[in-house]
Amino acid sequence: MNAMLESPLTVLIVEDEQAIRRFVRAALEGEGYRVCEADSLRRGLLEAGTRKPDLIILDLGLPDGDGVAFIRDLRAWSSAPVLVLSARVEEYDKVEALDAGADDYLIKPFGIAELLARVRAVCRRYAREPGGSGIIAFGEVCMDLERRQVTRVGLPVHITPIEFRLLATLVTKPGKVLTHHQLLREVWGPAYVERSHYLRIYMGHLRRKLEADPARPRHFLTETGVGYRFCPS
Amino acid sequence: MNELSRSHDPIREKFQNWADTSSLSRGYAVALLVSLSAALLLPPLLSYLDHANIVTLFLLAVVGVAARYGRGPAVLAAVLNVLSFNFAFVPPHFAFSFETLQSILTFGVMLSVGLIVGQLTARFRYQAQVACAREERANNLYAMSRELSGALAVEEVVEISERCVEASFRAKARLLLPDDHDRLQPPAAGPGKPTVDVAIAQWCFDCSAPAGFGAESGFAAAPLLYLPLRAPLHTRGVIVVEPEQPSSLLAPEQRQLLDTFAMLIAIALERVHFARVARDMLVRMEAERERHSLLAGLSHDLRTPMTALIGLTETLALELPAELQSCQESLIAIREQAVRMGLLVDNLLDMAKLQAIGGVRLRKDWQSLEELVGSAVRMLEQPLREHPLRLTLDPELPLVDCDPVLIERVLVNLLQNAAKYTPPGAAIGVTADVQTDGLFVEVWDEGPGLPDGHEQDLFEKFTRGHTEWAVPGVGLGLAICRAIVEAHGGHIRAENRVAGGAGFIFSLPLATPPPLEIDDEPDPHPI
Repeated sequence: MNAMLESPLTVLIVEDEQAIRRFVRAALEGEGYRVCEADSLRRGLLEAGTRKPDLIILDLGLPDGDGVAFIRDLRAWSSAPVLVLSARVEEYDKVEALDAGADDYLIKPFGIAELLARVRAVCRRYAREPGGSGIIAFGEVCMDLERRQVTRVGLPVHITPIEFRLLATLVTKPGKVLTHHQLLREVWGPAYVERSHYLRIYMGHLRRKLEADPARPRHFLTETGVGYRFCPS
Repeated sequence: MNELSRSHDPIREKFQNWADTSSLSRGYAVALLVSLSAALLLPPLLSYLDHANIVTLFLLAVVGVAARYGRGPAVLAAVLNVLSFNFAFVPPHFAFSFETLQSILTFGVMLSVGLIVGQLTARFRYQAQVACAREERANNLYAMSRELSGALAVEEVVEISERCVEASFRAKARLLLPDDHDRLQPPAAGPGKPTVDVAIAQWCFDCSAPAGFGAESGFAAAPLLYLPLRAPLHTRGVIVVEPEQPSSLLAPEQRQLLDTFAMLIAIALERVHFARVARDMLVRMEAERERHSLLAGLSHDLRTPMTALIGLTETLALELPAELQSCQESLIAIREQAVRMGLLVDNLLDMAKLQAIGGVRLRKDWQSLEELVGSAVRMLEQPLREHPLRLTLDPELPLVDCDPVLIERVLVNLLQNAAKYTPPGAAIGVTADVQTDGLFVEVWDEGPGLPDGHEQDLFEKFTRGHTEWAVPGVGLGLAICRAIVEAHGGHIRAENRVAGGAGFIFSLPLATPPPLEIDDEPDPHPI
């Protein structure tokens, strides 16, 4: 798809393992992305500064430093999306990375299909024009952000103010993992970032109101131990 | 130690006794000598001195003897002086006469002065002796506490305590210490050590009360004294004392001193104990930290090549022409093997993590079971594809305080097993039920069920239901489930269901979640 674009998107891979860089590059180039590589965090920052990539794929387990510090540093001057690669032992590093401003994560080992799906989702989200009509539709649900109305199968659904804030926060960042901290801060305020039971309860409400099968949600997905992700399709 | 050894040198003590007796007899001799010389030397002075002055000289001699030698010699001096005064100065000269009132008065005054001064001297001397003894006790205590404060090992404390008690009380002493189950260890018999009755010592330790010789709390007839070593937090042991002269321990000061010794020893033992605990804790924390960083490193090092293997295989499959079918099939097989190896590594690392010394660190938080089941089911979309799924979870289920990643792992492992060991088409389900002792979650299936009588063996490491099963796996999944559930304070069991099929039930303790403190518009149509 991207091969057909006028100017292909540039992806920077920051990963110390040559074999992984090799297959990630092959997969991305096959999809028409332009790829550049860095084998350390230091080089990664340098490349990010000079090449101005549209997406950065970052291994959290690099030997020369802390990936989370890299993201904080990067976020000071760039809003390029970051896709984090993590081994499972570092599962809480990855929450930290997301809180620091990473957009999504992939757990090693991952396959090419998974990688490309994530890359596409992240790029699509950034390519989308901000603003828009203010009307968002997913599944059987239609939501009007300006008039604060939600309908399901054409029938109005009663949504409380907090539920609406939570819903709006999620649906305006489709496909992105929002951590517990980010959601609690956004919806309830900074004083509530430790009260994750609020989220559980309100997510339960939303699912019951908007999902066909609340026990097997299709739109409001749980990223266990990390946060939630809104999936429009 | 100098003070102790000096004060309890037996030769010195004998010398002391001898010195006391000899000083008394010398006092009598001096009294005799003084009276005689007064009687002999004073009469020539009669021409210069008045009778009254002569009497004062006699009186002076009595006072002198009383002050120097105490009551006995003073009385003797008074009597002798009265006699010699009477003999030499009271007419008729050189004969005794007690008829005159004067001579009786002189006699009375001299005797009373001698008695009073002697009495005072004796009292002062006694008090000086008491002060000496007190000082000696303080020195002994000080010497022992100074030595104990430098002791770093239990053996040192034992050695110092036994030596000091033996030196200070002229007794044999023995320290008995408990093992990890609070049983006192019988001492090795040695020369110069008391023969200990371990039963009495154990009683003394258990009740934390003195026992044996002279003790009011128990076994008063026993020949040895057993004192508990009571420290602020715990009784640390028992000290057994066998005095050379049993009566010496009956003196209240001696018992008090011994009690103080026991307390000092107990505190020293407690200090050494906690020093060891702190040291062990440091070592354990260090080992745990190393283990964690080793696991993290291992996990990263194993996953990285696995990622490369899977990714490169897939790349190769994409690059190879689709017509090379056998090559494509091989690549798919390689990929599958790599994925399996990845799962195996996950399991082994998880098991290692869960068996960490001191238990796994749980990252607990209030979780909704429905959510955890939902995400577990989503992770297993592929394997569960061929099975009808029945999730019967009450929307009103309470939140559970648990580690979400680990409990999700339990659900994934159980659902994965159900998918693996039941034929396609067999239903799989999850139910949950609040009971008085927790939340009970059951993952059930309509498969062939479990081998009878071996349901609980499945939770052992590397155990599988039927070894001949062609399904790949090593049998760590359920062991991991058990480790996780038990770390949460719950239980897990397996059973064959009455309706057929297997059921795996685990429980999680329930608590009251914190309240919601936020104002939100009430829902007009609660669901």
